[in-house]
Amino acid sequence: MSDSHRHFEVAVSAEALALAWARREAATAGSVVIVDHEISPRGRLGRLWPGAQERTAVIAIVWRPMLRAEQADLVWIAASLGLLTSVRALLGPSATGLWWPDLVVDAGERRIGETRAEVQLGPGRVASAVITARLDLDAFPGASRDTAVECLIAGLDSAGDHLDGDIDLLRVAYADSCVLVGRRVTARLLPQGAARGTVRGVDALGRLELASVTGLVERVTIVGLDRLEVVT
Amino acid sequence: MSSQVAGGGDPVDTAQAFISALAWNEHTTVWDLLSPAARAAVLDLATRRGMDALLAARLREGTTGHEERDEFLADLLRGLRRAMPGVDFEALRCVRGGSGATVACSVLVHLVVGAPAELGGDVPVGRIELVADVDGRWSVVRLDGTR
Repeated sequence: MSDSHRHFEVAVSAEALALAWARREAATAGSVVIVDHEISPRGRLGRLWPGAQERTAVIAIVWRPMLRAEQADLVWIAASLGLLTSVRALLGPSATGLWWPDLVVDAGERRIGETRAEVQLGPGRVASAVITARLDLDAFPGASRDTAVECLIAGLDSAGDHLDGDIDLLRVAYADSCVLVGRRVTARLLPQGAARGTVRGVDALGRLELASVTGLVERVTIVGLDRLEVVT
Repeated sequence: MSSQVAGGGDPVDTAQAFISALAWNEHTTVWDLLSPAARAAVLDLATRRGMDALLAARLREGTTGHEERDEFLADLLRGLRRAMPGVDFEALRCVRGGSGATVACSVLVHLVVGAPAELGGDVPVGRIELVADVDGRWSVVRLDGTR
């Protein structure tokens, strides 16, 4: 195990340890926490990861992207692309895709992986971000946890580079892999309300763009989303 | 803004189209389904609340650019939705009511959400007042939430 990787058999969550590492010890970009068993495996909105712990691979990685504060949600977008890279490294170029803002789904649109981004802001900019990524090992027959963790580290490590380049390329890459693009959805919002439209992609701030048939585009923020429902 | 979407021959159908357009952010459809008097009232209110009078004139004449039109209509949609906070417009049903009171010969269409019979059945959450033009096409005069 290198200096940039820390492994724990049991922890409250990989994210909590990575956050502490980043805050108290100024963990460098690419620092990784690996946990075999999370007591509280939580994703977006604090929702519990439904998979069994013995069949879950999880890491948390520290990023230090050069982003303005208002671009913070782009971390979720890049993290999702990194998770998808990991999934495809395990499954090959299969029918997997992204479900905005945090999931990777299989051909049946069943969740097989999720990300969560905890972003720390400095004055006007993103100071650091801790990305948690989990995979349901039952979706990867024959893959050991160690192999899955290696793929997660490789995928998430490279995905951070997306944020240092052209954000439009990031948006295009995300839209190309998002299973929701071109479909009519209802976005259930927090604390109440809904937004409806056809998914066009994500904008330069990571918000989901919903277009109406009359051309009006409504943007949904990650923090304002409860859930997405595809309208058939 | 042209009247590409005209109200149909039945006020309930027109009300349902209006609600569906509100639910799905079909901004120009919502505008087109408003009666001329309702559009004028909207522009008058907006002007009194600080909207540029020249912009109001361009909106009235349909000579705005797409960007300022879309911005105005997005605000209008948000305002209309606020008439019924917390209501899922997609779940609304329209039920024919009696006569309206705002303009002559108008009718009311009640907006209800379904509820189990044990809980008393349909719950009214608002109403739409509509009026027919000389060609018999219905358009929306006003939208009210039940308070």
